[in-house]
Amino acid sequence: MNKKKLNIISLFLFLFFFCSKSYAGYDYINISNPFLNKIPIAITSFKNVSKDGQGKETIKEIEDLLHHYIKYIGFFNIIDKKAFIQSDEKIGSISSEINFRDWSSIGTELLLTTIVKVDKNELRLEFRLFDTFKSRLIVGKIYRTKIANKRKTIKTFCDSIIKRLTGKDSIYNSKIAFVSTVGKGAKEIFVCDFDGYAPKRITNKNSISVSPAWSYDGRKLAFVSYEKGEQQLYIKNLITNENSVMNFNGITIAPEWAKGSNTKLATTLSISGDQEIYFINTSGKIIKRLTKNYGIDISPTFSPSGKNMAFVSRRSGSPQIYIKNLRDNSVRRLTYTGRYNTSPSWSPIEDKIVFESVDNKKKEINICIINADGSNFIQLTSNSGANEAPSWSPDGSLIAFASNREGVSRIYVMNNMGTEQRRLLLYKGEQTFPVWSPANIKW
Amino acid sequence: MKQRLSLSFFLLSSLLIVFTLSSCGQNAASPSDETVTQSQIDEQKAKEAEAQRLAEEERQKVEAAAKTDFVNVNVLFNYDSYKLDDQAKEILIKKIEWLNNNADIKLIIEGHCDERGTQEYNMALGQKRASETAKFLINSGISEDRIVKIISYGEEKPFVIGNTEEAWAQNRCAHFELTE
Repeated sequence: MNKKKLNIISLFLFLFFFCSKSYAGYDYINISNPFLNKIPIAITSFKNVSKDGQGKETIKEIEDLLHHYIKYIGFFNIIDKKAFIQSDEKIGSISSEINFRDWSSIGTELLLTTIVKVDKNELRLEFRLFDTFKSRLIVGKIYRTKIANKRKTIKTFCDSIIKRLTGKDSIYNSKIAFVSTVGKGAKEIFVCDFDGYAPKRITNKNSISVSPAWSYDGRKLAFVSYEKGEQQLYIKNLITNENSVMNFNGITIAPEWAKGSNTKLATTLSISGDQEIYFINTSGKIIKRLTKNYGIDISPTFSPSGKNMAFVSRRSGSPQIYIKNLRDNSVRRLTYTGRYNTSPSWSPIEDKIVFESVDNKKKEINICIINADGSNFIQLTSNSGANEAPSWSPDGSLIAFASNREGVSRIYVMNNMGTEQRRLLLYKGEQTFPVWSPANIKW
Repeated sequence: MKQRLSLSFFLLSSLLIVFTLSSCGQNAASPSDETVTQSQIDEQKAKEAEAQRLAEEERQKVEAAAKTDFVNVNVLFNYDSYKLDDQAKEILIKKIEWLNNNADIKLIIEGHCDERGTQEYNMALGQKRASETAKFLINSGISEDRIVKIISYGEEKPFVIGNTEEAWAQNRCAHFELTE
């Protein structure tokens, strides 16, 4: 009994120590390229301390969910349990009860132990993440919650692991907006979890709605809809469900929020008779004209600092990506490979731009990536039909895109090296325009 | 109405002729002869009226066909282009003639693209196709306020479903809708 008390006290001391310590020295994961050297992690079986061993099914579900979340982001390599030396069941929950050499010798750098207690609708989870080489606890968390909140709780824990290992927000609390066909001819906007879970319909216009864009706080979606016959810019508040419509003379294409803004957007308008990109506010007032060039100028996307804007222009005779310096207004052409490069999306964390490149000879559209200075052009998809509308995860590690590789258009996710391409979700109809939200969606 | 008037005028004048002839005595034609003539003329008139009706019907048909053509024949474009080529201009000149003969008609011009290429760019390209078409009309004397609006559907609303060259060619177009 005394020993137990002591353990709990030491655990809280640990928790206190790590919570109060500012995140320093993130030597675990290089966020811009975490996939070449995945971190080996051993996840031990959950230790069930429930009365009469109740909640077996719930515990299995939570265990599967934890594995799914840890695996999904692609940073970790989960070690097969068959390789474990120290028995799964016998492992203790605090440092002194763990023989770290047994774990480091099987090549794992991280060890995650869980103690779970189910009491009717209540759930108690104790997670501990150890660095096996340094023989120490690096994240310790205790959650008391309702069973119904299990998904949110595990996301919160996984987020705290990533925060500890990278110093940055994870993608666990992010969402993905997309467009799906509904019935005959209609296209509506949907939102799902970062892993495709729980798709929810956001618009109900029985019309064509496209080009969703998230505000910085993740509370608003801007999009273009033909509800009233012609293209108009809509802003939907996802918390209050308020809807506002902006009626400009002419068309509206591809809205995007200004960097870090909930009130300012960039979008193409044809009010001057020609297509130009403008900064506007959420009341529909024009703040500033950003392009001045005859012909097509569309698809603005902003650098992490907000100082530069990449966009698509036909000024050279074919659609290519350009970068405008918003300070000195200089414009330079970014893409020279191929005759048709569109839909740029600037990484939220570094100066890399992902875009789509049309290859009519091969009847393909491929996702490519290039540094903002024009170096390091890499094609990320190939031999898989039309791959379109790339969008970065908020941590810059993953890219969501639409592809018709299975016949109909669906949403896929890959890492920023182009590997581990997988379908985001299976849903009726065809899906396009995936747009990843900022990191912390709190609704 | 006009027909009926001319018919009554004809009847009146034939009565007058009958009266004059009969008052002239023996040389007058027999009444039976007169009756035949009358029915023959009636028949002739009916035939003419029918021909007129048919002509009118035909004219309406042609007009309706012209209207249908106006709506159904789209102005086509090359891939990734919003330039009006000679064929497109020929179609537009026919449309302008029709618009000049139907001065009360107003228009919506839609721009469309084939499914190749990228969605947002196609929306931009569709807008350029519609606006180039509108410009051509305005430069040819069609009043600007007869073009109510321009809508670009990009690749969102194809005319022909399919991924063949023929389907793509039909879907790269400017389309006219009539409005009040």
